[in-house]
Amino acid sequence: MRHLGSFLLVLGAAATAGCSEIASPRRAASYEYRVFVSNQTGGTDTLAFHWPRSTMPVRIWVASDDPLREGVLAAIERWEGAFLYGEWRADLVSDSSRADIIVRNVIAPAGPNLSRLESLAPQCLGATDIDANRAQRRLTLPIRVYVWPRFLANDPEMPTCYRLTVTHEIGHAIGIFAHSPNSGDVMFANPVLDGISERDRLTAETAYHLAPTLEPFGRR
Amino acid sequence: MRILPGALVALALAAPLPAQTTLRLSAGATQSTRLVEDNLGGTIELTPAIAPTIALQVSHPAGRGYRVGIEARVASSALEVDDNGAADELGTLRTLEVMALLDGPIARDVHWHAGVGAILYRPSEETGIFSEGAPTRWQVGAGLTWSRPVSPSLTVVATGRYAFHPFTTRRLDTLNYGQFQAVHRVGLTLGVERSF
Repeated sequence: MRHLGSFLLVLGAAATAGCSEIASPRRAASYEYRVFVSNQTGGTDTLAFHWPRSTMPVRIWVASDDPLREGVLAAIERWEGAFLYGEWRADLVSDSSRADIIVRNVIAPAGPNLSRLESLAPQCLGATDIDANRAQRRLTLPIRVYVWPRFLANDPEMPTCYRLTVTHEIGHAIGIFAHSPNSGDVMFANPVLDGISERDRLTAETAYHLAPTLEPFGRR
Repeated sequence: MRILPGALVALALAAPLPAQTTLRLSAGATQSTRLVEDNLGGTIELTPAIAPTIALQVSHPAGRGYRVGIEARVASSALEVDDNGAADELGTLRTLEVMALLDGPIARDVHWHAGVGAILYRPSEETGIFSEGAPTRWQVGAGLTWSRPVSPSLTVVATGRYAFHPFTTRRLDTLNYGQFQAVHRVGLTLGVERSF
């Protein structure tokens, strides 16, 4: 029993340490991820969106032979990796009619009543079309992403441009609607970073922990 | 879990040997407290669900009624996240605990035990807090065992165990999360023990 007493003493010390809580760090400044638009009453509407947990994993479609496919896979890995608690996760799906996000390697078509978010990398261009109804607080799915060559499709830098531009556009599709003012972020309007920065990560994290003004609608 | 019935039969049929080494095979469940609590606009908690558990222990007499032993415990369950009220599951989290144990008598059928060892985390997906690798942490634990012989060499054993370890991951360290999360685990198992 003497040994038991000694061990209980050690266990008591451990239990004292057992009150410890992990301490969240001070988070560096993120950039604005929302878009502010004027409304008909002279006021301002805020467009803020994130995918709710009930929609995980988000379903992304890109054609199996599309040159953007590798970039889409990289973008999924990068943005999933931005989160600590699985706030955003995505899978590729083979049926575009069931997709939440559709990615195509074509010039973005003209479309009425859509919010278009664009990017201007050196060798390729990107656009993300979001069908947002501010009055009903709805974002109608699917979100459509377009990435296409600026000049020559066979430019040796094109795979890198596709990868970083798709990462940028998927960044819009996950809910970062605004552009970063910092050229070191993939969400800069003319992105050059082939990856995501700590500011991008913190911005995504912020977007997923503040209340959205839009909810996804029309999921199939 | 499918090997359990076969292992129990093998344990029961094994021929007794003169030494007093015992082999114990148990199954039960383990409940863990949260691994991380974070504050991002609201509270986020990451907690393993109640985990089915299998334990295998080998022990040997150490004199004056004490026994020393080694135990391995495997538990596996969903990793649950409560994100400001929204619940989600982030794959499966498996743990392997390996502990050196000292066991002593309290009453005829009741023993205490205590030990030190390590706990290894093995998530099904190395993402999120595990994206830079799953941790191995030291652990201490103690508990009570009730045993009842059912034959000259076979004993039924029920065990309650409390264990404690400090939790953090390389990813959390990289992101400047400070200190560690105290994780408390309680396990209840029922098994059989064979003396050799």
